Amino acid sequence: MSMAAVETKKITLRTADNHEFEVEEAIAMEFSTIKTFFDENPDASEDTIPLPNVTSKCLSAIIEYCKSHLAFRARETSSSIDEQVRTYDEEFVKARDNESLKELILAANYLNIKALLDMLNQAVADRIKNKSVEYVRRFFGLENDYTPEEEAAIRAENEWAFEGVDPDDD
Amino acid sequence: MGVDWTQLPPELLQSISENLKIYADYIRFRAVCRSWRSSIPKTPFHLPPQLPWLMLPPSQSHQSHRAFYDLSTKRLRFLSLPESSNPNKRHCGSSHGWLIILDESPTILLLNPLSRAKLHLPPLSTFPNVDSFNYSDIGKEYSLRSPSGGRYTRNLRQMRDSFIKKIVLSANPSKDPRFVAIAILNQTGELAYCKNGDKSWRFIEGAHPYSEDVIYCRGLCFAVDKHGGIVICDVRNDSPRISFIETPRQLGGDMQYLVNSGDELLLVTRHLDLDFDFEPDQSHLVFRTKRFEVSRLIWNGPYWERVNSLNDKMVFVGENSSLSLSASYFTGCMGNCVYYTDDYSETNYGGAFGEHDIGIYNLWDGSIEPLPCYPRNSFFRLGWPTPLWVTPSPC
Repeated sequence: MSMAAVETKKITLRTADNHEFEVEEAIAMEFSTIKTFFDENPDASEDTIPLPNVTSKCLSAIIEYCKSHLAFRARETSSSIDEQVRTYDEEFVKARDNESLKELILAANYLNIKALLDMLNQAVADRIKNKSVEYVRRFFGLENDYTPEEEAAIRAENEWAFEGVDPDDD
Repeated sequence: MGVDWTQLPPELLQSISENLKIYADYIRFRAVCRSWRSSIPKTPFHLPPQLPWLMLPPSQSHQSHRAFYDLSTKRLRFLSLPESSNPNKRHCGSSHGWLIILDESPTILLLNPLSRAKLHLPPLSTFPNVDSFNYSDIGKEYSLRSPSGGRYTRNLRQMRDSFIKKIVLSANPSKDPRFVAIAILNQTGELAYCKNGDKSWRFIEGAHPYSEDVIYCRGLCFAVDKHGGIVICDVRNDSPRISFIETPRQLGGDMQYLVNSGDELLLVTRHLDLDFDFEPDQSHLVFRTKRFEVSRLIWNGPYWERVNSLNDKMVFVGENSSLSLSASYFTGCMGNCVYYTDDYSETNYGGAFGEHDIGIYNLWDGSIEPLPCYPRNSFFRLGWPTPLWVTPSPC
């Protein structure tokens, strides 16, 4: 009796900039959005899934992340594994500039990858820690839509919180 | 990819805001733009305990505002606090962000200086050893009974200043409506308690000499005596139940504090020494803190084991509910230190002279640093009541 080669099922994803990625089923199932889609459409597994909200740069990073975390999870839990996961996550975030971080958050949100999203949200929170309101606005590319009076009233409510922030030098 | 972050799903915004662990960051985050302000709740409930501010004595120039020193930003914050600025007020505790305020009346007021929320505990006149209270008995308004049965009287000021040593809350009243308040009585060393909604205080029978410090740990009340012995009080049902942890007697030390640090119970022992305090025209002999010793409880003993380093942890002691925090969560503070304030001079000297016995004790080398808000000749240095650690809490 010959052992048939185990074929890992692959799913094809097409990004917003028209790149196609073939990923192992296990990885695609980490994206809850896709998992739900397949649960509801079991015979759609041969089709290419369009991801109009995700760029190839983002998807590539996300696939990397999910692959690594799947590998970590396959090993026995221990404090040294936890340490490695922490280091991996730190490195994953450290290299990204603010724009990439934001793109990744939106992509992780769209694809519904909870662990990645939580990790990225924490990273963003760390980057705006002790920064001024103006810095946070620039970070997210937001306009101040308050009138000067409204802004003054908001600051007056908790005057103490608006002082002593890091100088905005970036 | 241009993204309109004002259109972000509220859950995503909330999720980011919930990763902000410092209250000031959260407030600034909410001030970014209109849609964010409406998506993110005004009062955060997820914040871990914040770095305490040091509430400074009232100053002449800011009558209804009180200055709080913030270690992180090294600035003074001024909060409007008319309830506490009157010189006839005294604090007998600071717990979960709430001040416990006494005045020349039986009222016990709980006040959160940030949220301005207020609550009352049952008044002083409802303690079991207070037989009666009468405003018209001037100078002897309170009539009390001592443990031996003898009767004595106290006036309004005496009751305010020396009846209660400290009050500790089991939880933040805004977050847990079933909170319990524990009071340490000064003269008799008894412990009393009341639950939210009670009309009077009750004694915890048998807990009597365990009156150095009291904290809540694992849902139960732990109190310590002068020698490190512990009584655990369970006041959840109608009759309090107590049990004891008998450790070998810790000798030496002038005051004991009990601190809940992660999953460890710490005993922080304060050693005082006599010192000369030089004032312009006269010098006084005063007590000063010389050092602290820290021990952890080894439950399987039980005994206290000396701790040589707190590592990343810092401990805040004084009249506040003793607490411990990790220095790495915050800026402007150091691990392996005891941040202490003066919780004894007022009753010892009954008056206002000398510098407060406050500072930062470094376990690493036994050195003492002044608290940064107290430059050598600052005005606050001589003000009374003494400074108090207060945890800024949004609710």
